[in-house]
Amino acid sequence: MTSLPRSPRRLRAGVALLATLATGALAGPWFAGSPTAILDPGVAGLLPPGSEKAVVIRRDGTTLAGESLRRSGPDWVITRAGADVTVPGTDAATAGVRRFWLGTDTVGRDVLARLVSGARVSLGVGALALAVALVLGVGAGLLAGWAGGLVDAFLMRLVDALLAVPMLFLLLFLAALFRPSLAVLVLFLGFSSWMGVARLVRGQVLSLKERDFVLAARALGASPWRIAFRHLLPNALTPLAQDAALRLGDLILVEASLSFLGLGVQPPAASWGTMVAEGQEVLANAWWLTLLPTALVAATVISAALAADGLQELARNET
Amino acid sequence: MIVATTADVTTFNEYQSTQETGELDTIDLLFPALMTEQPDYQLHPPSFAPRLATSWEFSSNNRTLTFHLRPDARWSDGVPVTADDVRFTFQAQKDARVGSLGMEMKDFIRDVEVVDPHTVRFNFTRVYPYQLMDANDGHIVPAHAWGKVPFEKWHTTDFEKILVTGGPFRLAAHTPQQTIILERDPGYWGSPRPNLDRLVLRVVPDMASQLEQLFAGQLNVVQAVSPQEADRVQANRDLNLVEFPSRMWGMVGWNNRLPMFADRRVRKALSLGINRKSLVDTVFRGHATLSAGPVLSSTWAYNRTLPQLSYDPVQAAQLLAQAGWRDSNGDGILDRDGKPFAFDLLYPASNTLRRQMALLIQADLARLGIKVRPIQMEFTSLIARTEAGDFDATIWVWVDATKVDLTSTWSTPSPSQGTNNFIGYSNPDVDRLIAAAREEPDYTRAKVLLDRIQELIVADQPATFLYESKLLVATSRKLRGADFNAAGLFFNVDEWYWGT
Amino acid sequence: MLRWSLHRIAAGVALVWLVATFTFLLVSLAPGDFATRLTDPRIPPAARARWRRDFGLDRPLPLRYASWLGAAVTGDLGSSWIYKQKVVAMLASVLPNTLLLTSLGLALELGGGVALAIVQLRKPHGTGDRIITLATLAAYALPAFGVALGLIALLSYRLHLFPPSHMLSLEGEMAHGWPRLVDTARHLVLPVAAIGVTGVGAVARYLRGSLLDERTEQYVLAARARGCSQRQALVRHALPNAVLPLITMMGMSLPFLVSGSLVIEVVFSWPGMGQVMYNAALGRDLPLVLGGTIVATVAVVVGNLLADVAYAVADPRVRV
Repeated sequence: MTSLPRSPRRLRAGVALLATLATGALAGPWFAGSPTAILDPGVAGLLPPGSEKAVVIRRDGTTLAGESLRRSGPDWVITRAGADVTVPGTDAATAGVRRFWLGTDTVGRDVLARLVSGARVSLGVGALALAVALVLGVGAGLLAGWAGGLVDAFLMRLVDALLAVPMLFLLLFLAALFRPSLAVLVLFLGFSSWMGVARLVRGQVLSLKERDFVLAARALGASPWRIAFRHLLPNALTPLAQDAALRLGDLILVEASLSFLGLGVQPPAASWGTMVAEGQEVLANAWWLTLLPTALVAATVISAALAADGLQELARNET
Repeated sequence: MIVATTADVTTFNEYQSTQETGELDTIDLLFPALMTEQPDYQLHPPSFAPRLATSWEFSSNNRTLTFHLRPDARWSDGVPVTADDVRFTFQAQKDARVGSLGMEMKDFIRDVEVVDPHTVRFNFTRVYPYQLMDANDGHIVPAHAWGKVPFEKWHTTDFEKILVTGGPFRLAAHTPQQTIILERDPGYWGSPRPNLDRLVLRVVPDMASQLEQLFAGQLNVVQAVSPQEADRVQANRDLNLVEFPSRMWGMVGWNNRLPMFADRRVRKALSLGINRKSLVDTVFRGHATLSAGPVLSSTWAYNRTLPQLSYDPVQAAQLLAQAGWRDSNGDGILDRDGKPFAFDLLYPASNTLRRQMALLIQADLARLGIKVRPIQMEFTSLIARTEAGDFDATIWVWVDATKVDLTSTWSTPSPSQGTNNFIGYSNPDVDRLIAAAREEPDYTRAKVLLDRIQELIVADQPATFLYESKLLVATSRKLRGADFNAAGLFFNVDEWYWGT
Repeated sequence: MLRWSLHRIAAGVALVWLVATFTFLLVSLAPGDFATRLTDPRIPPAARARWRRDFGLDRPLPLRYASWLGAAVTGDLGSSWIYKQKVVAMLASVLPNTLLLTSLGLALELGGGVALAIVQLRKPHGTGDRIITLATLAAYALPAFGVALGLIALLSYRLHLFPPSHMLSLEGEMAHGWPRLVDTARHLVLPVAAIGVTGVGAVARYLRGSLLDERTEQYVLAARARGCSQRQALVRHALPNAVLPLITMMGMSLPFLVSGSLVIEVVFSWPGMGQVMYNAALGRDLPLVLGGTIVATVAVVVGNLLADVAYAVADPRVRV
C-alpha cells in the first residue's frame, strides 16, 4: 500500500489537461482573432475547417471576402463571387489572405476565435456555478444527514419541491425580472443544480455516521463540526468528486438553454453551450460547428473526471 | 402520400382552434366551405370558385347575398348538407360563448336565413368590399351532430369523438402526436374527386428530421424547408423543390413611443444604416425579397412606385447628426443629452434566421456609432413584452391575410378595440385614410387610398421593412399535379397523383 | 414503521399542494398568457381580450387559484386549453408512452453501468478500464441530440436496421396484437439506446469509484481472506454497499421517468410527456402544466420514498 506513487497518474493527466484548456482560454486573445467580427457572410459563411479566403477590411469596418486578391497600383482588387471589386488603398485598413483553421459559422465568424473566447465563458461560468452548487449542496446534505429529524425532513422536502417545480417557468419568470449577465447566469445555474449534490451527500452521511470510525469519534466527544469536516466529508468525497466532474459538463451544456431564455450569454458573445445548440440547426451542412465545441466539452469532462479519479486514489491511499 | 407536419392538430373543430399549427389546412380537407378562395390576389382582391355553393348573387342594394347549395352534398354519415348547416355554422361563429377567433369577421352580417334546404341568404348591415370574403370565412360544420353540444361547452368539448366530416377526405385513424390518416371519402359529392386513396399526415416536430426522412423516402412532402437546406434538396434527383411567395414578411419594429425612436429622421437613418439587401441575401440565400413597405408586393394593393431605400451610411450619419446624435464624449457611441444611443433588440431564440439578422443589424449599426444589444427570448414572453409596449426594438414577423386591412397593425392603437400596432405608430392622416380605404366598396378607388397610405408610412419609417420570404416546399419527384401556392398546402389536392 | 409511513404520506400530499400552488403562481406571473400568442393580423386583436375573458384570465389571481384548487381537490383537473381534452385523459394517453421509453432507457443505463463497472474492476487501471472510462465519459459529455442523430444516421439511414422515428410504422398503427408489439419494439430500440448511451457513463463511474473504495474495506478483505474469489467478493459483498450513491441517483431520476426528455422525444417524434408539457408551457396552458407538475411531484415523492427504503435495505446501518 505504501509503494503507490504520491500523485496518481490520472490526477496528473487530468490536471494537465484542464490546465491546457484554461491556458488556451486565457491566452486566446493573443493568438486568435476577434470572436465577433462578421466577415462578408455571403462569401465567408460556413467555410469548412482549413479554408482560405482573401479578406479586405475597410476603414469603416465593413469586410469583403473573396477567392483571390491582387494589387493594382495603390488599390486592392479582390475577386468576389467571380467578379472583381476594387478597394482604394486609402479605404482598406487591412488586406490579406486568411486561413480559417477551424472554419467559419453561418455569418462568417472565425470558429477558432469563438471557441477560444467561448472557453473563457464556459469554463469560468461552469466552474463558478459548480462551486455555488457544491457549497449549497454539501452544506444542505451534511446538515440534513447529520442533524436528521425535522431539519432533514425540511431540507429534503425542499429539494423534492425544487426538483418537481417546472424549471422552465421558474426561468421564464426570472428572465422577466433580470437583465442577462454572467453573474445572473452563474447564480441560476448553481441554484438549479445543488439538489443532486445535497441528496448525494446526505445519503453518504447517513451511511457513514453509523460506521465504526464515526461512532468512535463521537464516543471520544468530538464536536459535530469536527466530525463533519474531518470524518464525514473526506469519506463522502469519492462520489462527490465524480459527481462534480460530470456536473461540470452538464452545466456547460445547460448554460445554452438559459442563454436561449435570455438569461445568460447573449449574442454575439460565444460560449461552447450556445455554439453546440446553434450548430445543431445547421448540423447537416456544417458538422464542425457542433462537433468542435462538443469535443471541447467532452475534453473538459474527461479531464475533470480523471482528476476526480486521481483524488479518489489519493484519498484511498491515505486512509 | 405522406406529408410531414410539425405538430398534431389540437382540434378538428375550426371554431375552437388557435389556428397556430397549420391545422386549418387539415380541417380544409375534412369540411366543406361555401366557396374556395383563389390565390389570384396579385391584380385584384381574390376571387372565389364554387364549392358547396354552386352560385351566388347579391341583391340590388348589395345588402343581401344569396347562395345556392349543391343538392347532392352529404356529410360523411350520409345526412345531406343543407342550408340549416350553414345557418348553424353562422350561429356558432357569431356566438360569444364559442368565441371563435374569426368572430369579428361576421360583425356586419346581421343574420342568415334559410330560404329552402338548398338556398341560404346572408343579410348584411352595411355594404363594404369584403362581404363575399366575410360570408365565406370558416368551414361549414354539421348541425345534426354538433348542434347537440351547447355553445357554452364548445371550449372544452373533444369534437373528435363526435366527428362528422364533409370533405374530399375523411378521418381513417388518428394517433395523437403521431399520425393522422385520411382516406378518400367515397361519398364525396364535389368534383373533381381526389386521385389519392389515402393522405397521411405524419407528425415530425424536428425540421431537420423531416428533411432526413424525406431524403430517405419515408416522407413525400415537407412543407417549409429552411433556406439553408434548399441547396441540399435541389441537388437530390428524387426530390422537387417548389418556391413561391408566402404571405410572411419581417421588419424591425422601433418602439415609436420612446424618445430615442420618436424622431422620424432617426428611424430613417436606422433604415438607411442597415444593409438590408445584403442582410436578406445572406440570411435567406436568395429565397426572400426585399420588402419596401407595409403591404406585400405580391398583392394587388401594393404600391409599385414605392421608393426602395438603399444602404447609405453617409446619409444615415447626417440624419442622426441633424437629430442631435453626436459622439460628444469620444467613446465611439453616439449620444444626445448625455445619453448614449444604445438599445435592446429582442428576437425569439428559437429562430435561427432572426438571430442572424440581429447579428448583422448589430454590426451595421455599430459602424454608425449605435450600440445594439441583441437579446433572445422565449417566444410567448417576447410577444407579451411587445404587446405591453415594454421593449426598445424587436425583429417582428407578420403573416398577412388576403384581406387588405391595415387597421389593426398601422392605425393609432385604440384601447377599446385592441391593436396589433405594438410599435405605437401614430399618424392621424394615415388613420383617416385607413378608415376610408376599409369602407370603400370599389377596390380601384380603395387602391388610390392604399397607395397614399403606403407612401405616408414609408416616409415615416415607423419600422425598418426587411423582407418578404418565399415558402419552399420539397416533395418527392413522384408527386405530380400539385400546385403549391400561398392559398394553402392542399389547395389542389384533388389533382395530386403518383407518377412513376 | 406505520407512523413513519403515515408521516411521509402526509408530507407527500403537502408537498404536492405546495408545488402545485407555487407552479400556479409562476405560470400566472411568467410573461404572457394563453391568449398572448393570438397575435396575427389574420386574427382580430379583440380576440385576445375575448379569450382572456373566456378562460377567466381577467379575474384576480386569488379567485383563479381558489376555483382551480376547489376543482382540483375533488379530482377535477379541468380541460387542457390547447388540446381541449380532459387533463387527466391527456396525461393518461401520453404518460405510458414516456414511461415505456424512459424506464427501458434507465434500465439500460443501470444494467449497462453495472456490467461495465464490473468489467473495469477486473483489472483496475488496465487497458480495458481506461478505454471504457474514456468512452463512457465522452458519451456522457455528448449532447443528447448528437447521440440520437448519430444513432439514427448509422443504424437507420446507413444500415436500415431500425426505424428513425415514431412509436409505430403506418402498418403498425393499423395492426393489432403481436405485429403491433414487434413494431413498437423495433421503434423503441434507437431512442432507448440514445438514453442509455448518454447515461451509462455516469452509472459506471459512480459504481467503479465506490467499488474501488469498498474493495479495501475490512469486510471485503475479510471475505477475500475467507477464500472468496475476487469476483464473488465484489458482487456479493462490495456491490451492495457501493450502490448507495447509485440509489440516490436513481431516486433523482424518477422525475425524468415521468417527465421524459424533450430532446429525445423531438428527435424521435415520440409522443410523450416531454413534448406535451413543453408545448403546454409555451402555450401557457395552465391546467395541463399543473396536471403534469402534479404527476412529476408524485413521482419525486415516491422516488425518494423508494430511495430511502432502498437505503435501509442496502445498508442496515442506515435508519430512516
